[in-house]
Amino acid sequence: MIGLVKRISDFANRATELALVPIVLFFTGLLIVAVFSRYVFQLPIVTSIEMTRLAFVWAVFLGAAAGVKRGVHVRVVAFMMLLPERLRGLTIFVVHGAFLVFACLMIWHGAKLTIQMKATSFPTLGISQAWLYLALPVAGVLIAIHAISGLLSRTPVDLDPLEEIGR
Amino acid sequence: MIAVILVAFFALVALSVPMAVAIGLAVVLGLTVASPFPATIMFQKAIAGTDNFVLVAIPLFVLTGNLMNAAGITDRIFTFVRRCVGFVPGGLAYSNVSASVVFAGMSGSAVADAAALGKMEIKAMSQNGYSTDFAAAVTAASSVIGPIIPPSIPLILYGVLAEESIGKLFAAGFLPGLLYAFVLCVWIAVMDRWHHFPRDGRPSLVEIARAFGRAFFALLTPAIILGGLLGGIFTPTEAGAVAAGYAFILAFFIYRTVSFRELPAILVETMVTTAIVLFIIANVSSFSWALVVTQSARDLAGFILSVSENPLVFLMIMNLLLLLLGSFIEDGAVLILMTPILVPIAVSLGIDPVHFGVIMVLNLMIGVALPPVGMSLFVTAHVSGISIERMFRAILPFLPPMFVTLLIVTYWPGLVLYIPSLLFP
Repeated sequence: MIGLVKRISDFANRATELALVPIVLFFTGLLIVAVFSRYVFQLPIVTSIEMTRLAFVWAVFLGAAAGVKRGVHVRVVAFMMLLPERLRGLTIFVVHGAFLVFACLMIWHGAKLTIQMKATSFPTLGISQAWLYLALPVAGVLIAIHAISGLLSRTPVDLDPLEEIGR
Repeated sequence: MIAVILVAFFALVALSVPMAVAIGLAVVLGLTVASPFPATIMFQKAIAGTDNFVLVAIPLFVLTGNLMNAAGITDRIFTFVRRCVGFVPGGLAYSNVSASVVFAGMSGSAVADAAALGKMEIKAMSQNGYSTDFAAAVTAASSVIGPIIPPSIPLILYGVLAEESIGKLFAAGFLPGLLYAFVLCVWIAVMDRWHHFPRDGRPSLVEIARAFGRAFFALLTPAIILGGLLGGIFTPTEAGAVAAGYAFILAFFIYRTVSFRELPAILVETMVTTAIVLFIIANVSSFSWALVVTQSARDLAGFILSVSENPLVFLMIMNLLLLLLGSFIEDGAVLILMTPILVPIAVSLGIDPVHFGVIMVLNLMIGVALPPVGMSLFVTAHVSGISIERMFRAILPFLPPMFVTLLIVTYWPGLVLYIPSLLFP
């Protein structure tokens, strides 16, 4: 059971990171093309700003989910360090638990917003704004999976500060 | 509602819950138990706060820095400045500071500066007769320059939250960044009287020219970014995209030091680094909104104004508060939390919001090089191989130049606002 959840979490994170590569390439490339098209060919790409923002929001929420898996979200550990060793062990549950609760809220409210926004569309892109808000429940599901896996396998969260910045 | 949010937030943070989730959960709680608004607003604001074209500049500048690092251009820059200034006593220390100034023109984060340049600088210095502690301390102290000289990720964050022009903020950061580098160099010259630092042999013009040639394309990066930004050709986001595109060409086609197989990892790393900050921004958006609807910012401003209406006193209190917060909490998080609260107060006291932004960022960046949790100290201690306790002691002699610069920048708005006033009349 624990092994299965951990495998699902690993797989979900590989898929997330795989999806991030084309998204980041897309908005970076699009912006470069847009700058050249405006200055060199005098042709502004009207939809480029909305497309960039849509890709960026997805990249942020997928990146946040990958950040949960890597355990790199910024925390203040100064107060926990004052606690005795035995109590400090409980931070694993506090941190993963907080992520799990928040992820559930993201799924619930995100799904509500996605449905509400179905009828509203982007002014220049013409597609539904539901595509924007869908990033919330999707990232929520990913974070929930990582949090459950972290709770079950008791993945330590007390990395030293160097590991926390991802080095 | 604000009281509930703040109490819940501080309780969660004390329990070491990640900042982004702590503020998110606190706002949901505040909305649910103490407001007529539905909790869904929190998540709607989270998307609205992220869906911002200016913020896209952040991953682009992070990507530029990461690509430049992978391409090994830091080595070319350091060699070039070493040839230029290495022959004076203490030359390698000045080279260390100057390399940070050049690198600051293409990267926007202090920790990236310390990590990218640090290893090479500390090695070169300790091989040439400087103590490792001194070398590591100079590196940490000079890493502060990175986010002051544009491009700067903290200044982008501030600009978005305070609704100020990023172009103006970038222009405003330029002179304070150079001033800090200058004060640091003067301080090193003073220290030289006691330490008698070693020097390199005088290089021939050919050597300087060769080092310049090797570094030429790298040195062009700040010129492209700053020229395009300050000349009004690009928006900050476009400047980020052009810089990333240029770094990409340098890394893969001109220097060819990176292989395409490494690209996905660089892109993912970039986005995770960005998402850590942006996830906090997303969740703070609703808090900023709550401050507005409850008019709390105005109440708080009233309270602070009742303590003192003197802007000079207010700025001094801000400096102390920000240094304190910045040395305990990650700088981006403090900036995101405090900007919506402090900027209205500063404006009501007649302080220019652009000037105030530079003060805030300088404070928080000094916090990055300050014990006990300054991230630059951990990074430099790690790359130089000394213990963090030794690092804490080593940085102490470098605190005076930091505080002197901070005081000058705080109480001389003319210096900060000179370039913006030229570019944005």
